[in-house]
Amino acid sequence: MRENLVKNLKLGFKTNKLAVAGLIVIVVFSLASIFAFLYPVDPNAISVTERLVAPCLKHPFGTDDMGRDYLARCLYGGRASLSVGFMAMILSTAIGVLVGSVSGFMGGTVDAILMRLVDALMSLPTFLIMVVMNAYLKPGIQNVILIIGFLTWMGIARIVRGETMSLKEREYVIYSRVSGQSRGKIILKHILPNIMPTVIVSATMNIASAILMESALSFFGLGIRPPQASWGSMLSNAQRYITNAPYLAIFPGLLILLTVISFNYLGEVLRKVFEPK
Amino acid sequence: MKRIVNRLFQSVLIMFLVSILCFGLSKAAPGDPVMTYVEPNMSEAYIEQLREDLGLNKPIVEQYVIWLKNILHGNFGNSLMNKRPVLTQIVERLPATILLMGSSLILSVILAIPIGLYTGKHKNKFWDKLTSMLSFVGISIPTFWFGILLIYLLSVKMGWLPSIGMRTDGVNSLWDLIRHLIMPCAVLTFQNVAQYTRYIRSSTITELSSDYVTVQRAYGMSEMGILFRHVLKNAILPMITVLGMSLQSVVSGAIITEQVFAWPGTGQLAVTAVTTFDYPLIMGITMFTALLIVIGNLLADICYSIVDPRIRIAKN
Repeated sequence: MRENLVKNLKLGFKTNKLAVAGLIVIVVFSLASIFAFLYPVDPNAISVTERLVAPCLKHPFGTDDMGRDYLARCLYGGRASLSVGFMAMILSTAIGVLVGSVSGFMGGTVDAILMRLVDALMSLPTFLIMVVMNAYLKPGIQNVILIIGFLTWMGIARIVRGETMSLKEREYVIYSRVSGQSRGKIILKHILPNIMPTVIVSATMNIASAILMESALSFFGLGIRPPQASWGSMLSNAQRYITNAPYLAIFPGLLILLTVISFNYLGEVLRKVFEPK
Repeated sequence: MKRIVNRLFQSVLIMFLVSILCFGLSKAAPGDPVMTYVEPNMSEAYIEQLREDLGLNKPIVEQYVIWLKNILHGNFGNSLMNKRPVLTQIVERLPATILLMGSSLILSVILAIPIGLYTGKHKNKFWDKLTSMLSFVGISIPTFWFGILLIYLLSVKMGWLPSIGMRTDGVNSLWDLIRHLIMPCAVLTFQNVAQYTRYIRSSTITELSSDYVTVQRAYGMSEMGILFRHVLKNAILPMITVLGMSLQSVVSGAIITEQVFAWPGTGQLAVTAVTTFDYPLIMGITMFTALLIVIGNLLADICYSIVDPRIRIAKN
């Protein structure tokens, strides 16, 4: 089984060159933002004499309106954006798996209540609520993670519920129920390992959408706030200087696009590998 | 019929939950709402009286019931900033948003159907691969960045289109409106087409491999005939649900796009409301948008079960 999976994964990546490129992008960007400190330039160092310098040898990405090195800001911005993506994904996946598996396994009233809650949350204008909550709470990286995490778990919950419902009718699960194992134990030991593939696929795509949401929030000045850099907040600043310094908008935007598209491609390949149809 | 009543009941329940959430959020918000009415020369007693008049001293459940009653009567309260009724302000801004969202939705469907059919028919050929790549870009590109790029290219560099707003001051022609509409509409449409094409493509592939298509082929029906007389019908059916479901993302897309292009719609009003902490306006817009989405989903569901008899039979 496991050997097969590795084989499928290899095959999946072999037939989809773009996914390989995506994987490389993700690894490189993650490493770059983890080891951002190796680039010996302070992302917040202001220099009056070097405002809006176009990309050159000393400043590969140029400088912004306050003379700050743009490459350094992109690196640290990537750190913020990627960590929001990962942390929000972990939060939303955890909630989604919990709600989905409990709902699917218990059935009946519990299921009905939880699913109506999911329906209600899904018909909310999510982005509007995010904007609203961000205004109510103190802006900052922690709150952005919490808000995105708590508003994006419904999709995973629905998928997990569906899978759990079909899994719990399988013989081995029925057997372990009859033999007196507790519900929690059955969910942990028999249900969860089997829904892992689906969860991984949704989680990968969730990172992509979380990064997009964070960038949009920060673009509105509601997510991660200056002087801390994030790709979205850098873009909101860049819009003002679009006429004389378009590179300010191009770099962070490209970085977001590359990261998000890479996660989406990766998710697509994983989906094909796990559900070969 | 029973199913529709059921769904109607569900929608009311959802709106009820939304209203609790909305009210709870505004109550949990920092700041004392009475302070927005207070002027420097007011006495302590007067402020207390004001608080009493506004119903802020009542228990929270009672406050909620009063608020809900008012909303059911179409009274969303007054905006804190300019003291004008919330509903009037939303309704004022609605035409601009409907114009933007409507035109891009219609355009998206018109574009996505032929593209989806073609790429589904010619699976894994050059155009299919190119389209698939483009649609990945479409779902991955930050809306606001795409908007900024368009403004830079078409307005700043080329000077072809006006960069922001809905009309040029003093000009009242349809052409002027269309010129303003092109870029925000393009941004939203690109995003939508990217999503819809994927759905139509995959359902086209499923339909083409189904038995009835094989039978039609065996009877000697032309490929074009199969595609347009049979596959098209079945492949675009799921679009109704997709459209209903995508309303939510269309709304968020519209919020961002309106902000980037300074399009004077409800999305822009929402952002203004949030940044100025105008609670009644925020609550009004949230409730209103949620209602639209719920109605959209409901309509999609009803339409779907009318158009596709299989569902009616399956459920009964």
